[in-house]
Amino acid sequence: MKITKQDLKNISLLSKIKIDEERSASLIEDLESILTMVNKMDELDTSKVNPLTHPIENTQTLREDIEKKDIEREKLQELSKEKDSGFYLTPKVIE
Amino acid sequence: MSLNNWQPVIGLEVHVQLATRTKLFSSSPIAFGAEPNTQASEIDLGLPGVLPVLNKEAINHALKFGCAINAQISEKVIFARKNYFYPDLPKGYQISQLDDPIVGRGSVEIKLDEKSKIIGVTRAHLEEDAGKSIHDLYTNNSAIDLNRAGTCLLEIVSEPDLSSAEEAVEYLKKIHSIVTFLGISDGDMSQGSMRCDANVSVKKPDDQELGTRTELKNINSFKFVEKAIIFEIDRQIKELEKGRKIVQETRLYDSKKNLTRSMRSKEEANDYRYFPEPDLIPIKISEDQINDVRKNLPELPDIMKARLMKSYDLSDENAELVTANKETASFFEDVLSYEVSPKNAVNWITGDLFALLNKNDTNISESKVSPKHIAEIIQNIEDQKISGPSAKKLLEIVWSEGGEIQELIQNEGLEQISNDDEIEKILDEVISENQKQFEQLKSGKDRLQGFFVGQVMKKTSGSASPQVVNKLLKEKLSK
Repeated sequence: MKITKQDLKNISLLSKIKIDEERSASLIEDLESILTMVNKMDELDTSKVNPLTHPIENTQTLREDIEKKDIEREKLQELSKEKDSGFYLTPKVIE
Repeated sequence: MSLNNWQPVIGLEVHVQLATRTKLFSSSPIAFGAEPNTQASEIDLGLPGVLPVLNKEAINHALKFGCAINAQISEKVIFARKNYFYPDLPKGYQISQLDDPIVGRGSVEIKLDEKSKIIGVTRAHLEEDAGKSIHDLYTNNSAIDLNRAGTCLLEIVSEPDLSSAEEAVEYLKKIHSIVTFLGISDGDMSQGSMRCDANVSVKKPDDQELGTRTELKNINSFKFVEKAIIFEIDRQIKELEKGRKIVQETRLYDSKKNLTRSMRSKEEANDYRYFPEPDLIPIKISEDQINDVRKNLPELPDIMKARLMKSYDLSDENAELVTANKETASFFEDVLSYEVSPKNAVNWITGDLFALLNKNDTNISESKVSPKHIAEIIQNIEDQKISGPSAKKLLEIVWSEGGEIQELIQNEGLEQISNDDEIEKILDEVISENQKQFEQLKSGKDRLQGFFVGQVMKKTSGSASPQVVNKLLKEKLSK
């Protein structure tokens, strides 16, 4: 399967991984070889197989709709580098 | 707006915030307006190692909606990850549904100018909401509040069956009344409990395929839905008639300027790379569970409306007014429980009470006048104990000061004077003060009759019975 330079650019945008121009040729080669390997699976006829979303047959256990009031904001915010007045701060992102 | 033989094709995606106590995948509370991040737990923050646990009530709410619109319900509900990066989505993905949405194909009926139309609902699925980014608090930073992150949403997707902005509004109102009657959402658009995106395109009647559509975002009131769609239809027609093409894109509605504009940044690499959520195994929904929900479904607006028209002989318009939302409907039924005339109840609720609510910029669930108050006011009018103007005055007093109706009637001296002798005395006074007019009335100037009744009402501050005044006046004229 062919990967174009534009595909690579899109992948870079989606994954937020910066790609050096000089590496793009070798990356395209790698990605194409990965896709060829993955596409191997398409050779199997799965038209009579139901999609399997999870290997476990059980049904999901559900939770009762009861509040837990054990949120310690200050403690949780210790994990964050930048915060103020209860907010988490990020670099400015605006449309 | 001139359609010039173009046909608008509209589909709506409505996000309804479900009235659960906790979030979709965590036990965090969801009160509106809490201090920032005080309702964001480890799960909502997407810390490593946490696992989502699905809220039972959210499933129940979705099933209620599915049954209410006669939709197919999925036997097996599967969640999927929708991947994108944004600061108010800390996990880097939203847990949503792609295949096997909990609610499949169903439909609702809308009415416009007496005509009914069936609007298809393609699907409704459960998903978690994102947090909120606030951009204008800091110069160099965006502030993130994750209280809303993880809140339960039901996204209801319609078929492109709507062909005008008016139909879109009617459809949205219908969805609003269904979710509020079911009690699965408060439906408060001003607080974001119901949000709406619209897919809009236009085509010529003979075109086999739909035109290129745009998606309008950020519509948060019934009024704006209508305005945004009207603007967009007009914009697309003008573009096409100039020979230009419509670009498939997301456009933001700006309610201040009443226009839509392109959100180009959203167009880049729009690929959410959905895959089944590995942290949640499929949820099986049994036939018994669906039947149980169906059996316990509350009365829905259409059925209630038909019942009110039949049992209380209400007009279509009146029945529509009191079933417009759940709160008004229960208020109406509460008033009726005091055995007053249904017609009077409708008139007082949709007339004077609605006027008071509007004046005070509030809604019926916040009314300071209770159903009991309204019922007692109506009873007193029906028994001719108070006059119409006194009743209006009484309503205002109850609103501003509260109190018991019987006591207020006594204390404020609002009791209607139906005592003939008392009224006759006042009428005699009025006649002696207006001898000339009385002679004119006697000689056939009938329109002066109203003048005399008015004068008596004025002297008694509106508490005289107009019927008695009229009767006495006639007696005096025939003498």
